[in-house]
Amino acid sequence: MLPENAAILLIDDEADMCWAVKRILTGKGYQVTMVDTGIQAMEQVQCKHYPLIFLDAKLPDVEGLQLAERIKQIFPDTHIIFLTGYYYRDDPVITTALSKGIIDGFIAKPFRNEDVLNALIY
Amino acid sequence: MDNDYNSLFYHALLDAIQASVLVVDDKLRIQSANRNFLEKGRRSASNTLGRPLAEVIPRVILENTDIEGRIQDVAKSGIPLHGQRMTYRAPGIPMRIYYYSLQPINVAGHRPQIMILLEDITEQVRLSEEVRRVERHLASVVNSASDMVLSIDIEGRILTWNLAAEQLTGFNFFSVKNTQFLERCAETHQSDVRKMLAEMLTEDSSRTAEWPLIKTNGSSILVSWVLSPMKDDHGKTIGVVAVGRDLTEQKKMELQLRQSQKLAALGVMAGGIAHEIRNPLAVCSSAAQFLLEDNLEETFRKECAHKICVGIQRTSAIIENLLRFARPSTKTDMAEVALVEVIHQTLTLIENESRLKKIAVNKQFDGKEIMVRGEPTLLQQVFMNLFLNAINAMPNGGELTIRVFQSDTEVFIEVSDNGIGIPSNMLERVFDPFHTTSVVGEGTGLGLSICYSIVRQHLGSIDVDSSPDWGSRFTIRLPKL
Repeated sequence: MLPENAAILLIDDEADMCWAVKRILTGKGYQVTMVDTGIQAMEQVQCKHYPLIFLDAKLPDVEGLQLAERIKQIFPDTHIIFLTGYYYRDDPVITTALSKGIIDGFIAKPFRNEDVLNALIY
Repeated sequence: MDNDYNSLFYHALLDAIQASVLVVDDKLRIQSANRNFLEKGRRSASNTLGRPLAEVIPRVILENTDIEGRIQDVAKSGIPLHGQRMTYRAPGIPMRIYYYSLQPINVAGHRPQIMILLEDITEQVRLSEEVRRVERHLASVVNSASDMVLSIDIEGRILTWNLAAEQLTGFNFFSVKNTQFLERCAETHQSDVRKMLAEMLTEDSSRTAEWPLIKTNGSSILVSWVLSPMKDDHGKTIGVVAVGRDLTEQKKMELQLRQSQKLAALGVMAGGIAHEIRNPLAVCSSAAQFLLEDNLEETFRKECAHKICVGIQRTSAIIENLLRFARPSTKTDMAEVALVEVIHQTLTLIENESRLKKIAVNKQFDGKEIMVRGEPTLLQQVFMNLFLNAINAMPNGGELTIRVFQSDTEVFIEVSDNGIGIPSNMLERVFDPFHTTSVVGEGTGLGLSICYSIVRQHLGSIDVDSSPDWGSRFTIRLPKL
């Protein structure tokens, strides 16, 4: 379980989506930082330690999986949860990314709010 | 005097002809030999005349042809012998072929004589064999071709029909020989065939066409033809050579390619729909779950309800756009539309947006109003999409240029920006549904595909040119009223 007060990075270009996820997490006392592009995300991870990241599949400047790969190369211990409506659970893209360790978990949109909280236990 | 003249004339005549002429008596002694014979045999009259035939003609010929027996037969019977072929091969000398005939000369009071006419036909035989060899070679080339090769005379009758034509249609050459080529073509195309064949008799150029050919089972195969005029030695057109390629396989591959392109487009669309619809659905879902919690603040409760409403509207708008793209409006209330006015109206709608994003709008209209046939709200939708795309492509400000000009038949509307441009690998798919999502980063990615659909509905076209160096330019062409 991620300790309370831990910093969580939320990477999604949908403002309302960020609103919902942020509300779920801050309700449990976590600090949530939101960014909406790959460039901003790289800046954030380099200036602050984020043990957990929620990441969308489609960003305006980069594909989510490419960004995940880049972050994992620099910070292999960062736990990345892929939070997207673009793929389905058994999607070959997802199973491959999970088996290669590019992402550590997958949540399909729309989700149960508790799915987001369950992702904090790893 | 007369006898001398006749004798001189007779010898001159014999010496002039190219064949060898010998006259022998019934004892087979040489009575006369013309110049050609003496020259070929490298003999003189003195060592030839009066000598037995066996001394003068090579032994090998006498042994192989029984010419002596035949001469004696002719002498006895008085019946001439025509057209005998004789092959002569001596060691170290190339084979020679002769053609000889024997003519009896019976003069009252004289011993019978026989004239031997000997013609060297080695060269003719060699040439005709060469011609036959070339003909066989050409026929095998034509027959080995996988394309159909036919020739047709000026009356439209089939002269030749190669193996490929037999195999593809099932008709053998003898069943189609001298029949009308027209009858081999599907009925739907016969008037085209007739017209083109007639034109080819007066014009020199080759033509191409796609005409179906009928098979023995009544079905037809689509064939791509190249037709060339066939000329005689004087350059006069005496028929047509038609080379045809069976397009069945090609059409099948084209169909497969289109199917796979459709599947690829469907894949992109499915992904696009999933992403665009599941995002607002997820917001609605989370907000609804928040509302199930107890003791909510009134403002947050309202915020949740508001997010749900917005999410539902967004989802519905995406589905609406998708439907519009899939089934464009067939409203027939198209009317005369003042194009420049519609552009001006649309520009007022984006005025605020462009000011905020520091974008200068540069209008280049030639002053006059231009009328087109269309639906003003649909045209406005097209311009709106293009203007907003241009603004989104210039996040740090820039210039949006709208240029309207016309040719004799068309009206051109150019919308250009000096923004980030479209990567060249995306350019050809920019009008495909959902393909623009990740570039623009906003919107549904359906905008340009709807523009395309609307412009097509107005019988126009839309093109794009773009580079990261200078931005993007969309050009719409509409038919002029």
